[in-house]
Amino acid sequence: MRQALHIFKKDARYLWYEIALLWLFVSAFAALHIRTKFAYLSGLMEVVLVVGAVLLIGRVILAEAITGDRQFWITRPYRWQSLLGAKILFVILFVNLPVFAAQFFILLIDGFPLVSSVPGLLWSQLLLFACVALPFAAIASLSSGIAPFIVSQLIVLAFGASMLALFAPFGTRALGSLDWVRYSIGLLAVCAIAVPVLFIQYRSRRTLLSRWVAAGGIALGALAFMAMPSSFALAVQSGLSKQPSLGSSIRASFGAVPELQFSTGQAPGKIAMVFPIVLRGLPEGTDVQGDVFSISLQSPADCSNFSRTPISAGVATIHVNCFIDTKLFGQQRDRPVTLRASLYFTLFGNRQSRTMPFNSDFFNAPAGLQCAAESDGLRTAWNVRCRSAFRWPARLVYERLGNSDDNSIPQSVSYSPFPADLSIDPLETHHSSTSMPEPAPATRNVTIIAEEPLAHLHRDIVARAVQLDDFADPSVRRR
Amino acid sequence: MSDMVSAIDLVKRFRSVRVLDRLNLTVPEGSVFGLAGPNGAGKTTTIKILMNILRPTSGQAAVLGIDSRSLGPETLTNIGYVSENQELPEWMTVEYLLAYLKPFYPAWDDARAAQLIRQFNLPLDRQLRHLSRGMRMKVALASSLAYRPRLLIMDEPFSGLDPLVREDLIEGLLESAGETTILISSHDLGEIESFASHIGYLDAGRLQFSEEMTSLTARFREVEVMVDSPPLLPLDRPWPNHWLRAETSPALVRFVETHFDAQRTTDEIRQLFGEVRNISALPMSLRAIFVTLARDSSKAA
Repeated sequence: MRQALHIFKKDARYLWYEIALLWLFVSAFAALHIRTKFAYLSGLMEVVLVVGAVLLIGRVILAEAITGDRQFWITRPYRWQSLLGAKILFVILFVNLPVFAAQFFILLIDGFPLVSSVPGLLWSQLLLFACVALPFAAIASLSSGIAPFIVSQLIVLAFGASMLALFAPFGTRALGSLDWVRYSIGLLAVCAIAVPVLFIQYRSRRTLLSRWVAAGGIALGALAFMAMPSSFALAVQSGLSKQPSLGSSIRASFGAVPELQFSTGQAPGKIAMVFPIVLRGLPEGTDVQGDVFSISLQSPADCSNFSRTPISAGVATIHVNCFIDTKLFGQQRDRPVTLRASLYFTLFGNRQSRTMPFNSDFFNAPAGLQCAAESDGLRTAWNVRCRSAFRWPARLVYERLGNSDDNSIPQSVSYSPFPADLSIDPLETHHSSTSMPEPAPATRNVTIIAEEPLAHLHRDIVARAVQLDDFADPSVRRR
Repeated sequence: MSDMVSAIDLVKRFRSVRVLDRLNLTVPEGSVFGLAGPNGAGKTTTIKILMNILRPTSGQAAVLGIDSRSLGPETLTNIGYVSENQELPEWMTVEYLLAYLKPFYPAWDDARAAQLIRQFNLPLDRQLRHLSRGMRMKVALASSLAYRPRLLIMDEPFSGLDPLVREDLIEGLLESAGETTILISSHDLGEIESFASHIGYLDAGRLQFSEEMTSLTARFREVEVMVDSPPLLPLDRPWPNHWLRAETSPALVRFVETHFDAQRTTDEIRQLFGEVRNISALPMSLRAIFVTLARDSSKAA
């Protein structure tokens, strides 16, 4: 420990200028949050901060470069544990701590309750350390200087991008609210590669072996990320259901297509289709939202947008917008086909709400949100802005203006159980805008409603002897 | 007297190039061992393997009785290393470098460090990047002698230095010789000759010989034989193997005797040439010995 502190002090002395510069970036980043006039610059400052932090990590690791045979330290009695410990301590104190301080400061200024923000603060730091600092430290440990370090990052990025391009044709589909499972696996893989690389490098300085471990790990991680089946994500998500038995009475079937559902736009070489899925037996007081839909056609259908009819007597219809290949549609449209589909959906309940007047400061809304609403002088347009500490809550959040329809804020949420996402910015903000043709003088306030996910469910649906034409955009139908 | 360094059948390949070819080497305790050899002979590679900077392809090397591959911090507290190729932390001042290194060595001797600073006239407040090459070598040596290591390994320490700096370095070394075993690789044979107690000659990855300096200089002689008529050697009686660089002229035969013994050498000369007018056997400098060996080796190749 004494040796680690000794090396740490040397590094702090060596890199004081870079450390001061990073503190300056962090201060500027925090200051831009307070000065809302310059808030648009905070994204740019975040990038500068990340680049500065990565370079500082590279510089401190390369102060005792692992690769090479000319460094003075390799013939001195350094203990590898002390050296690694010193570098980790440096990263925690001079990279993580400033970011932690900035996040803490921003939350404090914006009036978020600090006690309930502690898990987010800590988780955010853990993510930054494990998924950013460690991987970049591992890359630096494989580099002989700052220029090779930067080049190595580009190589890793190019390698990652080529892996994505290589595996993309094998059918990565958006998992919407369940995508956090895939990203968690990706982040876990990044961390899982960095740890053995750092261990091998610091313990035995075997750069070639470490490079193979890193390349193999990246390939496996990319494969796991790209090829993860939806069923796995749902299995993980179902395991996290609060009331898994809640939806046992729900039945699903194909329904009829209403004309008005076709506002999905066009895609070249594709036919827009809508598959209506009727859900019956929804428990009273619950809401439902579609997550992932897959349908067995001869080539993959791109299904992503879900809309739902109001729930009435435990029945609701979820309309899934899909695009299918024009050629396939041409081959299948005139013959009876059997459709086999799977719908992953989530039941929401335990509604919480709060009503607030317009043109007020941010006020505390349900689910840890802070919201503010503005309207123009004529009361024909409204803008509701809500922000959350570290990540948007895994809740269905929407706003209601007087007697108007509900507006989701945002359209899609992540069901991730973790208290923070990988980001330096501690706030996630979303807007919802509404406009009306006529002024609505009676509307003086807005209600923010949040419902929590109670059960994540899955239903397989089969429809025999149906015509694909019936689900297609009316403009291409023959009947 | 135990061996401070030993290498057994050491092989090192870089891709298809065999840099060390079953090298066997021992450095006795208390010696100043000069490792000499032409460029590319494998001196630096040998030293890097001994210091665990490189791993051998096969064979074994031990330093202070520890396998070089297992050389850990405990052993390194007893080893000093100075190399012309070493990258020092140039941002440090001399004073900070010494202060930084001190806690790594339990045997660090402040008085010895102060003496070395005085002896080498080191500018404590100057950053290493602002020092001359010679001064940097002095700093490296001072930082390696201040903890009185049992073994000091030096790789081409005098290369490119002016004579005054060399003299300072050698003086510093000589003060530590005895308590510290020194292994030094160098092209500068003249400098090695002045203080090495043992010498090893490495060529093409093999140690051609290794012996005490006194024994080496005693057995090498430049021999000149004055003859009355041109020597005519019968085909079935070639030059002895231990005569190198043999040359003949009408009245003179000249060669380097590698195993000089006054009586035996005289007998061999008489056996080959009969009665001769005069035989002179002159001692050779280390440089002359190595030039002879290197030329003979390249001729054989």
